[in-house]
Amino acid sequence: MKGEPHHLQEPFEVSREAIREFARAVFADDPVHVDVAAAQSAGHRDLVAPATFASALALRFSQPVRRDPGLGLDLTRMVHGGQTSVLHGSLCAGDRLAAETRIVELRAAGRHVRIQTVTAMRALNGPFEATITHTCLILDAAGDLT
Amino acid sequence: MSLSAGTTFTPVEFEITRETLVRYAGASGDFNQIHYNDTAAAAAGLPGVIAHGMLTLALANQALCRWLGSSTAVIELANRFTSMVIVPGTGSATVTVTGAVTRSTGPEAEIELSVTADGREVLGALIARVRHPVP
Repeated sequence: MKGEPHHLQEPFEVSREAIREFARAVFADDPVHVDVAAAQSAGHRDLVAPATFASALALRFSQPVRRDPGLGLDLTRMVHGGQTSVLHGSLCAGDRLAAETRIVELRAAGRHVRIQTVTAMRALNGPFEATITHTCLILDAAGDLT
Repeated sequence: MSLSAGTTFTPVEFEITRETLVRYAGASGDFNQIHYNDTAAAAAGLPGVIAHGMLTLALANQALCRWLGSSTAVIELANRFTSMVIVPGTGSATVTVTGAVTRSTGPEAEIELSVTADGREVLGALIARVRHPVP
């Protein structure tokens, strides 16, 4: 059931534009997210991603695990149950990320199915590391979350 | 910045619209249709199009950054998504973030945040562990 860990096929390169777009999407107005000179004068390698960007990437990187046909999950009925992000250092533009995701729990939860994954992520060319847990619920046909 | 246990921060409000959701979908790569398509949301049994939980969490983090005056202080962020933020086709939903310092010992402080949308709690057990003093 829990299967083998899933790795990114090739490193994910975090671009300046990806950080700028994410920052804009979440109303993050600190210049360290958008202005390279401001980021570097604050002591960073390059533009710094908002803290939840790593978790958003982990959700994306872990999706193939939930999509595994062997699990038979209807992802059109998926909602997010929770997350934990533990960050070491800042994720910056230019970081090339490797990530490995494992399923740590898959069980019925009332009328729903609960699936929990852990994604270990690190920059191959910098100090950033993160461990991110995502819990997702696949809602049963009756819908509501009670 | 130095933090003391018991310090309460000024609430921060965000207005989010369908455009906010589409922008977040593009920026995060989460294109689940329940976040922009009424038909898909209804088919999934939801009461309407809902915001990405991770968008709501990002707004909470943004409030935290404003309070701390730093975007690089967070070491750990943990939460449950307890209720949904329903975003209407016209107009907006209001997300309100409040927070207080619950612990401040040595090189770390802990802040508990509360996030509500139109008066209803949407994130639960939201704890941020931050570097202290704040860089």
